[in-house]
Amino acid sequence: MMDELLEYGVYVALLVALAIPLSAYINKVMAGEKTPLSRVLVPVENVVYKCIRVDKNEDMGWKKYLANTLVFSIFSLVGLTAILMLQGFLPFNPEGLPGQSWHLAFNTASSFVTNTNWQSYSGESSLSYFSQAIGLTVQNFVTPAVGIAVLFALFRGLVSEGHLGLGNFFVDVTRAVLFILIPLSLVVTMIDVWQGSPQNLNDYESVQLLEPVGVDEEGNIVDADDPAAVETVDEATVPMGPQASQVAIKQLGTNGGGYNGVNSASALENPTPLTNLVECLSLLLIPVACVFCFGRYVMDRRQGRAVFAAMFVVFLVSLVIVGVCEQMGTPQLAADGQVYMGTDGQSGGNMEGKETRFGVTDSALWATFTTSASNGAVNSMHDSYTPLGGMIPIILMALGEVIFGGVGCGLYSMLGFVILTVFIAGLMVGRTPEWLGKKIGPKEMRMAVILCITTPLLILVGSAVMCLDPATVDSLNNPGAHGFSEVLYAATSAGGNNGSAFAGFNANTPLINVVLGLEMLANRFIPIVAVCILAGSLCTRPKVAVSAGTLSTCNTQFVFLLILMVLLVGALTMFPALALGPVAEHLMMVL
Amino acid sequence: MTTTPMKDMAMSSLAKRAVFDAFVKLKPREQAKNPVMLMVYISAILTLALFVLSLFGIADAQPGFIIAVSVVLWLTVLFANFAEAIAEGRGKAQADALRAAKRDVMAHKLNEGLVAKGAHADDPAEFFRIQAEEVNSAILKKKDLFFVAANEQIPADGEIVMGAASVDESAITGESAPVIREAGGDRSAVTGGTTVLSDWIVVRVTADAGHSFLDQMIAMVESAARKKTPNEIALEILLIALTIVFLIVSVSLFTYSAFGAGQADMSNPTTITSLVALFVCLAPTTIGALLSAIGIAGMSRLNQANVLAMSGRAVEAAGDVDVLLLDKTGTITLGNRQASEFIPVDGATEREVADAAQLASLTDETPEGRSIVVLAKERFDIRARVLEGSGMVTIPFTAQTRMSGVDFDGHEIRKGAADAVKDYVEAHGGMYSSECAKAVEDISRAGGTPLLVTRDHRILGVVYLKDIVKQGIKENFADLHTMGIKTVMITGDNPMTAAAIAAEAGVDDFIAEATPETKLAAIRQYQAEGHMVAMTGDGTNDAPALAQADVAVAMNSGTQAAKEAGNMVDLDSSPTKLLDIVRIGKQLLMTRGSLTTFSIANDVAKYFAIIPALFVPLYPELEALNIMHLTSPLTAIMSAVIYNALIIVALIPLALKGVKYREATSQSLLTRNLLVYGLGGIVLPFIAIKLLDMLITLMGIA
Repeated sequence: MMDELLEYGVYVALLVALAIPLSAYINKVMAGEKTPLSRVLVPVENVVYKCIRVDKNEDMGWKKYLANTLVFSIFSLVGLTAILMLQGFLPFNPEGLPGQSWHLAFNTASSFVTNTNWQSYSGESSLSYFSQAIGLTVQNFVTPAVGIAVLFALFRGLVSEGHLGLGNFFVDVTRAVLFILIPLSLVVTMIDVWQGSPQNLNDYESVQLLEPVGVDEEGNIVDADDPAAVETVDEATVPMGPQASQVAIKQLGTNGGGYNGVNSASALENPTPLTNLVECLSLLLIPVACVFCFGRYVMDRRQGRAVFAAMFVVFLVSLVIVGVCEQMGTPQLAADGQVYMGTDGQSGGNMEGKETRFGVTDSALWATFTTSASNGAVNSMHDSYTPLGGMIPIILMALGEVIFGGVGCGLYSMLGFVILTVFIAGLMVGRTPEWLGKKIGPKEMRMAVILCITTPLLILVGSAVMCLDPATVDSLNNPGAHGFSEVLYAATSAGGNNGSAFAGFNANTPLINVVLGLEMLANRFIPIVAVCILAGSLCTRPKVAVSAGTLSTCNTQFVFLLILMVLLVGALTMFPALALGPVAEHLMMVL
Repeated sequence: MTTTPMKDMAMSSLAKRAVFDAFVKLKPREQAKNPVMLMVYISAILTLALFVLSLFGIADAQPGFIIAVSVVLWLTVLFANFAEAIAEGRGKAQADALRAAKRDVMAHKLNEGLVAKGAHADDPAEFFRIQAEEVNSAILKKKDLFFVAANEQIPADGEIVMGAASVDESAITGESAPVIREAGGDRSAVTGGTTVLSDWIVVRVTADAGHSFLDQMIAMVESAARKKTPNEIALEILLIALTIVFLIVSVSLFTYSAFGAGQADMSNPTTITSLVALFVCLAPTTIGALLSAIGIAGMSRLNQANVLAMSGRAVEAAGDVDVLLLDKTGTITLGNRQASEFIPVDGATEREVADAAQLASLTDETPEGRSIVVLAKERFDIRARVLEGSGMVTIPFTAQTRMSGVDFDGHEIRKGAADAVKDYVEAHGGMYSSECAKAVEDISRAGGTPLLVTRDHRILGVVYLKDIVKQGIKENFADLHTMGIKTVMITGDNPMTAAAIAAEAGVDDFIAEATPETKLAAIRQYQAEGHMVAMTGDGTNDAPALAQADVAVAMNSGTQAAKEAGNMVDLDSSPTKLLDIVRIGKQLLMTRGSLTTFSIANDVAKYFAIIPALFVPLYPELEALNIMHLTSPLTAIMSAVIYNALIIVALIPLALKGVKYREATSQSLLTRNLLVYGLGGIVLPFIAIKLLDMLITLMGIA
């Protein structure tokens, strides 16, 4: 038990230790200040501006900032859909893979443009190098950059005292990509390559299996000498390609779209314990840093620490619940001692769908990290988790991906909850609510409410539509409550812009592709619109003085209240759905 | 003792009227004003329709159950209407009383020429009475002139241009003691509907018919002009959002249930009726139903404190105020300074000082002057002397000399402000000694006002006039300080005196030697720093500052200009009223916040009542969530909706009275309110729903 705790401790401590200095760096970059990389990158930056014809000194009001964000994203969406549908005619396609169907292309494009990276396909078997590199990887870089840009637009509105400019969208995105995402990706790529991940443009390779395996009539893999085996396989195709670099950005940018279908459970994407550590930390590094950026930006680091504390508490509790649930397994697994439930020397507990090399500890850790961050990369199959262990990832996503969440977007949604909390707390002490010296009026409230309820609403609507379609039953891997959990997980993953999959669920049907695609788009862009309007409105609010009667937004009481508010909104919206899925399943299992 | 039955009668007639109004408010247009309750209204109609359909065999659920739910939903709507009606009731009763005062009377209309001529007449009153044109008060226009004699009602709002009269303003203020109103100065405004008791006045109209103070008052107390405040709108946005969320939760539940049932080859266990019940229970109906009642009741509490707010916005702003500008005189200190000591200088004796000071003050009718006479009597038993025929000449106080006194028995006795007396003695060859200067400074530093007494150009000593700080005011300021409200004292005194009084009263800051301009500048300065400023004022020269302040309370006794510039009028003209106003403003917001928290917290228990009830047929294991052990799905749903309706009625008194208010830091207030309304809001419905369920079971309905 101590070992597990120690491992959790190391992961979490390293995460915070890295995020704090990174936050200082990010703030410098976004303010256009000099950094150690400026010498090399500023000339590059200027070339970019020249190419896209941007005046880097232009300061955009909220309308222009928003318009540019939306136009940029629509352009990305249309372009990416086209690439995916037409990849058969495009270069760098050594395997000669055909284009995707319209609905799958729409789903994939929506997914990558919204930083979700939900995948209704397996990358290695259906996407060309061109689609992966020019299509998906580009989005993997620019979508987190858009998140950072919009977040900083909000920061600027928050501290503004009458100045209406929110910064320059193109400058923000360019800087975020050049100074933050590319350098960090390079570091992670190097480590992955050093540890053995492929990074090339070669054809897929065939290798001899050390031990041949058999395949039965239904296509399941069985032992070679199993009587059910109808065919023996002694050779495997190993996907090649620029995997390490793809993995680096998928982790850092809270993208999550793996190069391979099984994502970071694959030994090619995540070969060693070291890569597991690095990739896991990369998941949450920038989202955590963003929280500290907030404190630094508003010149009151306690503000950042308070929001961090609220997220961290929920995060830790989740981590412990998942860890404990998976280690304990189910009463059925533990029943007659056939399954090893301990941790000594080897992996025990509920090991279904988990890599033996990671075990419960690393899998639970990753599952919590990836659903806290709206990342969605996985190193185990969440479908196989115990009901409660699998419910926590659903909850983390359904809370609106505000427990750290996606790069930029996690924090700006959380700030919506901060406004909501400030509003109710302010009323309870008899003051018009104010936050960081800005009065919260109807306009701010409207936007904050949109930020808070968009995700849960989309999840409910998405899952309801899927439930209405009789064909959905055919997509399920399991019947009953667990089947419903699969639908719920898919809707939640898309609605939270997470992109992780519960596995077991065949999502590549026209209806599900379209529903989830729309859900992802709505969950990305409705909040972005709300944040820009909010930032624009905050600009115009005069700053009110802090007095002894002002409610502190950085003490324990506020942190507690913020957690309560996040959980309350989550609980009130998701309670019935969770009761019918994981809770019912759990009760059936234990009763 | 005798008031109780009367009060009960008034209450019961109020309640009767409210019950009637609750039904009147069922009009769709009335319902549309409140989005949350509109949804309940629609739900009630929907269930009624389902019941009618069930009579024709299209049954969504058992007809008895449908009609039971429907009845409870209709009651929920009626209870919400009743809450609003009863809050409005008090205002309506007050408005009726005001309307009685506002009747058309005959006015004696004059014109400029007549007024000018009348000023020189031997008996102006008689002259005006004969010359005036008799018109109906309704046709008086702005700038018209009219004459009012004793025992006549003043026909319109206006400013006295000639004369003085005692006026009975009880129709508006409820205060029966008459007040003096006179031309010029800060007490020249009169209000239509009040009555002149003695003497006569000529008044220039300042408000057209329909826009008078009385009209505004009626509109305000009736809530006819009530607009939603920004804060109320912000809260409503939250409530609408929650309502939408729960609507979608309920609809999606239907699909989930159909999905689960479809796989298990069962019929969908959830009925539309039960989902409608779930939706109504979850929607923030408690706060939705009471929201407007809370706002109206807040205004009404203010009216009861005899303050008339010109808008609900002003009341809310009062809760936000963090700087109070308070006039020293009347608010912090008793109106008058009193002589407390005679300090002899330059070899004079104390008795000499007392004697001279008493002589100089004998004809001085100001409170300060009288207090000197009293002190001289107390200390040395110097009695008032007969001055008649002693060749005494009284020298009255003038703004130029800033001294007063007497010439008596060939002596020249004077008293006055230090610098004025200094100039006076030095001009006559006397001297202003350092001992005297020190005494003056000591008194100033201690917060007093030094008054120099001279005889024949020689300074005898100093009279120490002391400012008396009101009892209890220090505690008041300490409370305000805890709440983060800064108190600033405004005074015409010099900085040294001001500092001493400020320290004694415990105010946070002071502005000495204040003029209307410095007041205005101070308000602007505070606002620029991001503070919300409140002040009271009465004079015309206060008007600019009043117009600038966020919360500006004009005294009813003040000038028309001051009243127009302010956003509240204090009918009692009490300078400490500002403290009450801040309290009422805060209480209003706190009531809203607390009931919102309560309303949302209630949902936890409702989920635990309804979700197992809905889905146990599908997954029998979910019975484990029925932690209240409610008898059956039907009793569970019924108990939840009945609780939901009854809690509205139960909370009406709280909405009207406001939550308990006390001065404390915001942190401790928040903790307290969270415990009471947050935790209480979670626990209470568990108990109440369980009890209701037991009751329903006992009655054997299900």
